[in-house]
Amino acid sequence: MSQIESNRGKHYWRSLDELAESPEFKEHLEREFPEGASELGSFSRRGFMKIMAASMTLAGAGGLTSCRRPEEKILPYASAPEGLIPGKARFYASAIPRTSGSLGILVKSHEGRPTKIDGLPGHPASNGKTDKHAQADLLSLYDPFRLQYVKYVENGKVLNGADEEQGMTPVYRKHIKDSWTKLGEELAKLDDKLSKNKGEGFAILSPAVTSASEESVRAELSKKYSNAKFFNWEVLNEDNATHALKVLTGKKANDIQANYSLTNAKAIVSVNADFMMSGRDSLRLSKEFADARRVYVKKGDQDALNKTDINRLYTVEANFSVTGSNSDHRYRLAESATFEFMVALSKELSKHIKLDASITNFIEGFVSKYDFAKDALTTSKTGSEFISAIASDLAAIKKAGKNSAILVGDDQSSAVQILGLLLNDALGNQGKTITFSERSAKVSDHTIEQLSTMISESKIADLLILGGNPAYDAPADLKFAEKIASINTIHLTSHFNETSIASKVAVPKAHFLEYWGDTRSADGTANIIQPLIAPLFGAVSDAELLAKLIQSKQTKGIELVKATYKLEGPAWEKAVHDSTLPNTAYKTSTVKFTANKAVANLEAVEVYKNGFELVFKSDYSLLDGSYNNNGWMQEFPDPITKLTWDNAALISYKTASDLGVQNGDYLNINGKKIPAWIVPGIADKTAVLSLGYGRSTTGPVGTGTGFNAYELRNANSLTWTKADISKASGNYELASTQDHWAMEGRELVKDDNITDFKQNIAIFDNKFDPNGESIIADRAEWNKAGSYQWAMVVDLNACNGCGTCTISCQAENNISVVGKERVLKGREMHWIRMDRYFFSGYDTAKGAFMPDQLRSDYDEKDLQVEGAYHQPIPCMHCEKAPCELVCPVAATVHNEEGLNDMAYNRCIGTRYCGNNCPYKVRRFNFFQYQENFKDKRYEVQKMVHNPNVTVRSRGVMEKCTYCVQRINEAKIDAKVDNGGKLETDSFTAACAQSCPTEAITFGDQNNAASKVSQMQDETRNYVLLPELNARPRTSFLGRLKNRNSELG
Amino acid sequence: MKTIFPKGIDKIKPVIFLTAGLTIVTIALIVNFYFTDKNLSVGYRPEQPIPFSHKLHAGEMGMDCRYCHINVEKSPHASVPHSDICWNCHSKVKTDSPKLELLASIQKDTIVKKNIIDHKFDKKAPKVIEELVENSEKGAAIPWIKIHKLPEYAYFDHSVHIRAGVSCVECHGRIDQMEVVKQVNSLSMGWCLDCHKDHEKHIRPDSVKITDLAWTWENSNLDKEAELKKIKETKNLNPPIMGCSACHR
Repeated sequence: MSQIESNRGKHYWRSLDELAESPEFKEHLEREFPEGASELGSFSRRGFMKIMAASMTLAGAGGLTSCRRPEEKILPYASAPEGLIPGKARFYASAIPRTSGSLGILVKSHEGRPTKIDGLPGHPASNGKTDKHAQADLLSLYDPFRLQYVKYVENGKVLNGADEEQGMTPVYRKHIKDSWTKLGEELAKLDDKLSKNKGEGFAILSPAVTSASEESVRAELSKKYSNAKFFNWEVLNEDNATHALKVLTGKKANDIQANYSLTNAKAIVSVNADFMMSGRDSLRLSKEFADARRVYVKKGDQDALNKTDINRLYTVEANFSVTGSNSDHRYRLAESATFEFMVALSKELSKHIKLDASITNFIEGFVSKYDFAKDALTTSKTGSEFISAIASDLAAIKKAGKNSAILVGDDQSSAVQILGLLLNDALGNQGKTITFSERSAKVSDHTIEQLSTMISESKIADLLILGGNPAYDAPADLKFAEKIASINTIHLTSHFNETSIASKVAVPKAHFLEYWGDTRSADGTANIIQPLIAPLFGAVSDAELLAKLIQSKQTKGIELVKATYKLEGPAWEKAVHDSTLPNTAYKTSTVKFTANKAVANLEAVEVYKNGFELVFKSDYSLLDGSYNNNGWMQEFPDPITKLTWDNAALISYKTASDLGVQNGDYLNINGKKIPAWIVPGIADKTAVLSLGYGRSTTGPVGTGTGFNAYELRNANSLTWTKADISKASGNYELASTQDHWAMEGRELVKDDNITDFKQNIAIFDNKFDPNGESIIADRAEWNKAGSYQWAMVVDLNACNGCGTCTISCQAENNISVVGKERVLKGREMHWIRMDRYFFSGYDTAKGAFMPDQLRSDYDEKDLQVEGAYHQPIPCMHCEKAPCELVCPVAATVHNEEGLNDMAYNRCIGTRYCGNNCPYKVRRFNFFQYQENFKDKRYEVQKMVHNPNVTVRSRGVMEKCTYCVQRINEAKIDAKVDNGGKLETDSFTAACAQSCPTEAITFGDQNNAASKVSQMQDETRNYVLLPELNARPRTSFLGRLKNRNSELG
Repeated sequence: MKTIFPKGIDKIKPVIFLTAGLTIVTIALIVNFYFTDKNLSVGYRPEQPIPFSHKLHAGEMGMDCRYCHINVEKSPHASVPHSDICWNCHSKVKTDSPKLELLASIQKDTIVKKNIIDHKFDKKAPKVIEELVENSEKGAAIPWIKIHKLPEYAYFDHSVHIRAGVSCVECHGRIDQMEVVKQVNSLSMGWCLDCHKDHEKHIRPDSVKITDLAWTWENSNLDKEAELKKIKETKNLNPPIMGCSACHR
C-alpha cells in the first residue's frame, strides 16, 4: 500500500498491482505467459512427455493403420433446398426478441446452420450493429445443456430422466418424443379443468410481452378462461420510469415511454444511467453519443479543427460503469444519495431557470429538513463545484437555444426519475432530446409480489411461467421457489434451472433462431422472427405453448404471425425478407407534466447516511443471469474489472483500506461471504455486486461461478440495500485479465482536452520518428505494389470499451474458451483484447491540463480516478513484423497485401513469435480446447464453427488475421461476379462490422477513397510503440475530452 | 589383424539371413498393402456405392460437367450433384437397372416425404407417415466416397479457377475417359504452386468451352500469344504465390 501512495504521479495504469509495481505485475510484463503457464494441471510438461512417450509406444503397435487413407464420404442432398449453394453462406433477416425491445439481425447461415449474428442495416435499434449478447446468442443456440425434452419433476427430482450422454440415439429420440406426447395429454387435462371453471385459480407469469401474435393468443385465452390472471416479472425493467411518467402525466390507459436522443445534446448528465451498456436503447444511444463526438480533421487543417464542437458528458454514479469511464467529468456518489444529488442539482438549476413552484417549495423543505448545509455533497469543494458547474453549463446551453439531456438509470427510484423528467422539461428538451410515445403493448400491472401473496392465500392452483427464472431472481423475501413448489407449476424455459426444479413440468423453450414469431423493438417497430433451423431438440415458443394449452385451432407459430398481421402471399414474403415491418413505430406525442401531483412521491423519500450499502447492477457479461451457461460470456473480461468467470463485491480503494482487505479477500455482506475486488473510482462505503452468478441449477459452464446477489435483494431494495460489511476469513481466487499482455507502461493511449488540441494540432503526433523519416514511409512503399494493402484504424474517441468486438471476433474465428483455471494462467485466447487503463489525473507539476479534481476532503485518501480509457488491441500486422524474424519454420510470414499471415499447419509451437511480439497479441493453444469435451452431447456445439476458418489444434500459435477469410471471399466474389474489381469498403472485418459506435475502420489503405486511408490521414492518428519501427498497419486515433473550464 | 566380427557369428548366420529375408518380405507386403495405387493419393480409385460411369455420361453422351456439378462456377465447391439431378433422367431412363436401386429407393422416399411436408398426403394414414418421418431423420443420401481431397487447412475455390480459365482437366484429368474415377494428380502444395507460378500453360480463353476436357492449345487453331495477351489485359490474373493466407486461414 505504501508503494501505491508514493507512485501517485503516474497517469495511466491498469491495476493497483501495476501502480505498486508488485512482483506479480512484473512477471506479467517480463514473461509472455506467467510462470506455470506450460504446466499441465498437477504435473509438469516434462512429466507429461514421459507419460506420452509410454503411450506412444503402445500406440505404435497399431500405429501403421493410420497410414491407410481414411475413407471419407460426400453426402449430397436427395432433394436440394431451392437456391442453396453448398459453400456459399446465405443471410436471413430476423430479430432477437428482448423484453426491453427487439434487435434486428442478419443471420449468416452455412448449409442450413446459423454461424454468425450481425445487425440488420436500417433497423431502428441495431442499425447494422450488435452488442456482445447478440453475438453470444449464437453459442446459446448450440448449448448442449439446453433443456432437451419435457421434464416432469416432483420434489426436486426429475421423474423421466434419460441418458443424455450418449447423444441422439434412437432410444433417446423416442424418449424425447414420448415426453412431448405426455405434455399434450397433460395440457388437454388442464384445459379441460380450466374450461369448466373459467380459469379460476390459473395464472400466467412472464416478462413483458413484445409479440403481437402472442397477445392475440392471450386474448383468445382470456376469452376462454375469463378468470385467468396475468403477472409480470423481469429483473431488468423500466417500472420506475413508467411509474414516474404515469404520476406526472396522469395517463393510465396505455403505458407511456420516454425516448432519449443524444444527437443534438450539447451536454449530457448521466445519473447512474449506464446508457451505453444497458437499457432498451443502449446501441442507438452509444452510436449517437459517439457520432456527436467525432472530430475528423486532416493533418494540419487548423481551420477545420477550430470549427469542431463536441458534446460533454457528466456522470454521477456509485458503480464505476462503462459510461462513467467515458465521461468528461465523473463524480462518484453513494447510490443512496442519488436523490439528494438530484435535489441539489434542481436547487442549483432553479437559480438559472424556472421550475414549478411546487417543486421549488419541496426543495426548500427537503433542504431544511435534511440540513443540506452540512451535507458533504453540497459543502465539499468538489461536490458543490461539480453541481454548480453542471447547472451553469446546462443553463448556458438553454440560453443559446440548444439542448441538453439528463439521463436517469432505469433502476433508479421513481422520485429520481420524476426530478429527471421535470428538469429535462424545464430545460426545454421535450421534443428535442427527449420524446414520448405511447406503447401499444399491454404490460400487465400485476406484479410478482401480488402473485406471491395470492399463492400464499391459496388463490392460485395452476401457474404457467413463460421464460425467465423467477425462483432464482425474484426478490429474496418472497421465497418464490417455495411458493411455486406448492402449486402445479409449468415452466417454459430454455435451460433446466432453479425455477424448473421447483416446478412440476419444465417445457423446452425454443431459441429465437428456431421458431416463427414476431416482436417489437424499443420504438415499437414490429419485426418478424424467422427460424433458421428446426428446433435442435424439439421446443416451442411462448405463443405456441399457449395456443396448445387452450387447444386452439391454430398452434403453428407461422400461421399465428400471418393471421395477426393479416399477411399473405407476396406481402408475407416481403415481410419475412425484410423482417422489419415499415410504419409500425409508436406515435410520438407531447405530454404535459403536472408537477404538483408528484410532490407526494418526492416527499416519501427517506435519506440514508453514513452507513455501508450494497448496490446491485446488471452484469456486463451475464445480464440478469440468462447468459450464465454461455462460455463466451463467462470468459468475457468485464470492461472495468476485467474479471472473468466470477463476480465480486467491488469496493473502492479507501473502503478496502478501511476494511483491511486485499483483492480476493472474503467480505461478510449481510451474512453472505463474497470476495472483494478493488475498483478505484467506486463510491466509498459501497459494495457493488453484479447479478446473474452463483446459480444452484445451471449447466456445467455456469456451475460454480460467482456469488448470488439475488439472495440479498428484497422487494423494497431492488437497486441498493443497507448493508453490514466486514472482513471475513479466507480468500477466493478471482481470474482477472487486467495485468495480462501488459506493455511496460509506455504511452499507449493518447488523449487530450479539445481546447488544448485546438491550440496544438500536433499534439497527437508520434513523438518518436526514427532517422527523421515518417513512420508511414513503408506504407507508401507497399502501396506502390499496386495490390490491396489492408489496414485498420481504431478511433479511441468513439470506442467506449463495450467489448462487442471481442465476442464478434470469437464467433467469426472459432476462438476457444479456456476456462477459469487457465485464464488464471494467462492463457485466454481472445484475438482482439480490450485494454483498460485507469486514469488518475495529470500531475500538475508537469504542467498537464487536468487538475486533481477529485482530490478533496471528501475522498482525500482515495486514488483520484478520473475515468478510464479503453483500447482494443488486435494484431498490428507490422510491416516489419518482429514475430516473423524469429520463427524457425517460417510459419508466420508476410503476404503481398501486407498481412502478417499465420500458417497453422506449419507452426511447431516454439512460441518464439509470441515472445518477440511487442504488442503481445499472439495466443497459444496449450490444449486441444475444441476437443476438450469427451461427452457426446458436445457434438452439437461443433455446429457453431465458421467453416471458412481452421479450427486450431494443440501446440499452434494463433492471432488476429484481419479476417483473411472475409478478404479472400470478397476478392473471389469480385473476380467471379464483378470482373475483378473490389468495390471500396464493400466488406469489413468482424470486429468492425459489429462495433456499435463504428470505432473500428478496416479496409484498403492503397485506395484513397477508402475510409481507412482517410483515417490514416487524420491528425489524431498515431501508432503504438513507434520507437520500435515495426511499422504497424493498425493505428489509433487519439482520445479527446471536453472538459468544462469551470472544473479545470 | 584383429577380426571385426567375433567367430561365434558363424553359428547365427542362418538366423541373420532369415531375419533379413523376413524383413524384406514384410516391407514388400507393407508396401503392397499400403502404398499401391489404391491407397496413395495419385491413382486412388475407390469403388463407389453406385457404379456411375463418367466415361459414359460425360464422354460418350457428351453431357457437360456443369449439368451435374452445378455450383462449380459459383461456389468454392463444385458440389457432388444432389440425387434429384440424377432422377431428372433416371425416373424415366433405365428404371429397372439394378445399379440404380439405391438411387430409386432414396428418391421415392424423398418424394413421399415431400408430400408429407406439403400436406398432400392422406391424413387418414398417420402411421405410415410417422414411420417415414422416423426414417427420414436418419438422413437419406447416397454415400459417395471422396476422391479428390485437400487437407482441412487448405481452402480451395473452384469458382475463381473456372473464372480464370482453368479447365477441370488441369486438376482432375480426363474424367470423360474414366469408367471409374481416379485421382491423377498429387494435389500437393508443391503441385499447386507449380501451376500458380507458371499459370499461362494451364489457362484457356473464354471463347473455348471450359469443360471441353480434350482441348489443348496445340490442337486448337488459336493464336496462343495473342490470346494470352488478351487474357492478361482483361482478367487481371495474379495467382497468389507467396501469400500463405490465400489458401490457409
